[in-house]
Amino acid sequence: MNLLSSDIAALWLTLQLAAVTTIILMVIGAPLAWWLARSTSRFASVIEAMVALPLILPPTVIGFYLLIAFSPDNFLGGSWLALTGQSLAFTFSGLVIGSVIYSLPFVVQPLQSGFQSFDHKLLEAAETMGSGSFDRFFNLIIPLTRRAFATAALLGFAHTMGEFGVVLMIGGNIPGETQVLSIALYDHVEALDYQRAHWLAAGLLIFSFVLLVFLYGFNRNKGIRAG
Amino acid sequence: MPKILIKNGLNAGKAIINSWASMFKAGLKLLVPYLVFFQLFVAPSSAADVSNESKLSIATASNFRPVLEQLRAAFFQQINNKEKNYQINISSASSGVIYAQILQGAPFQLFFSANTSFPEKLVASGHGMADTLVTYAIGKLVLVSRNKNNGSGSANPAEILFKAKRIAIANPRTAPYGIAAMEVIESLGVVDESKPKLVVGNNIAQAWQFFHSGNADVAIVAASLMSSPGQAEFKQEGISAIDLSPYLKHPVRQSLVATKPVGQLAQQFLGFMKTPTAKKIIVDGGYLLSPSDDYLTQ
Repeated sequence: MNLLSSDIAALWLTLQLAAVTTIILMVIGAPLAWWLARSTSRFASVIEAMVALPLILPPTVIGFYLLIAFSPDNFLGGSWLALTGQSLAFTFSGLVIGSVIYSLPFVVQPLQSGFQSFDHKLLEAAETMGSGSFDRFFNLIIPLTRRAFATAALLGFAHTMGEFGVVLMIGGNIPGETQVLSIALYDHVEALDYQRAHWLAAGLLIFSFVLLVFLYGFNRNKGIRAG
Repeated sequence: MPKILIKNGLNAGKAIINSWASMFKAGLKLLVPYLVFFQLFVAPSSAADVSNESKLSIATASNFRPVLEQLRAAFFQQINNKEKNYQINISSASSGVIYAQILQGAPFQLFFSANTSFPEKLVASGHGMADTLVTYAIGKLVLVSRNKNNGSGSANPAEILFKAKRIAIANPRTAPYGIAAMEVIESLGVVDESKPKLVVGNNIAQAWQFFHSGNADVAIVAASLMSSPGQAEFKQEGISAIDLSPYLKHPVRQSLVATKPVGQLAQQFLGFMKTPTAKKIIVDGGYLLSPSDDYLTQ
């Protein structure tokens, strides 16, 4: 077993990145998906397209523009520098921003279709019985759209675990800070260290597979297909 | 329990294969006439141009790419390529990456490395032709920084590295310029201060992009990157470049090697590399010529 501390650090960093990104995405994605599911305005299709963009754009495009945006000479990078005294590029925070954009459709879209197939009459009935917004959300919507929430969270997590192109462009390959698993793997392959590459690649493959088996098993068993 | 699992698995597999098979049969009905048409009318004409004589694929270290493209243009002009229609394809990456790819059988006929050890290793492993190994340029390492960060206009590299927030270099695991950058940092004695600030690009071009986009305020790159045509506007933006050659124990000797029995076009190109025109392009591109090398002083 040839795993060095930098590989363990890469694993830990990747898990942290996926967790933080997923939490942020669930918090901002759920209201967004709810609005998209129920909105009748023409503006909604523009927002929907923007959400879907990271699905079809090469990650290197996202990374390229992010690097420009993160520059201290430009608005985003400059204001971040003024606020926190740190640069955005080559930091964990920069990666989080990149990952949030990159995995956005993987969280919003399952939530949106879950909400779309939700029966609104139930909400109205609950309201007539005196149930408040939070009560309706936590006790009515979430239980019935459990599958959508599980799918969104797990897909967002797994997708961020596998992020490569964006991190390649904005990461700077710093061990412990921005060297995620996929980058570490790439680094080993380029340096001809195939044994370490095998460990990382196989580990990531098995982990992703198990995650997906869990997700699909969960969805199948709890399948109230209408919700 | 296991028996049922296997039976279920087999049934599922059979069902999937059956649905594939029926889709495939449907597709074949469309495919066969298309294939016949393709073979009769399209394929014959494309068979003719895949020959060693008219196509050359070159892999080069990222830092040399702009100069190599200029050399290709000058070469085509010299042999009047408009009539002959030769093709020279150039791929670039960091030298270590190309070396690994050639070991795996990548179809590059010429390899312009940023060092001499990768071509030597290729010759030793039997992939490279020993009599084609020559040094084509000596690389210049420079420390670039923006003048606005360096109000005092400091010309002391150690000081600049000390004050820098982010130092961009190429990957020392795969890029000779990255190794050279680390060597300079060591010989300047600022390793401990610099290491936490290092930002590593896949290759020298990405290290340059980190600097160019403003995210890294200092970079150790090849001088040639500053001379490439697209970067001319930079000179007005107040970028100062300090030559780091005095701090380098081992100069960056860039060597090339050919990987197959050298084809006619490859030979012509290698011959062109010896001409004064080519030498001038190399020097203008920010490199030095090796004085002790017979190849370049012929």
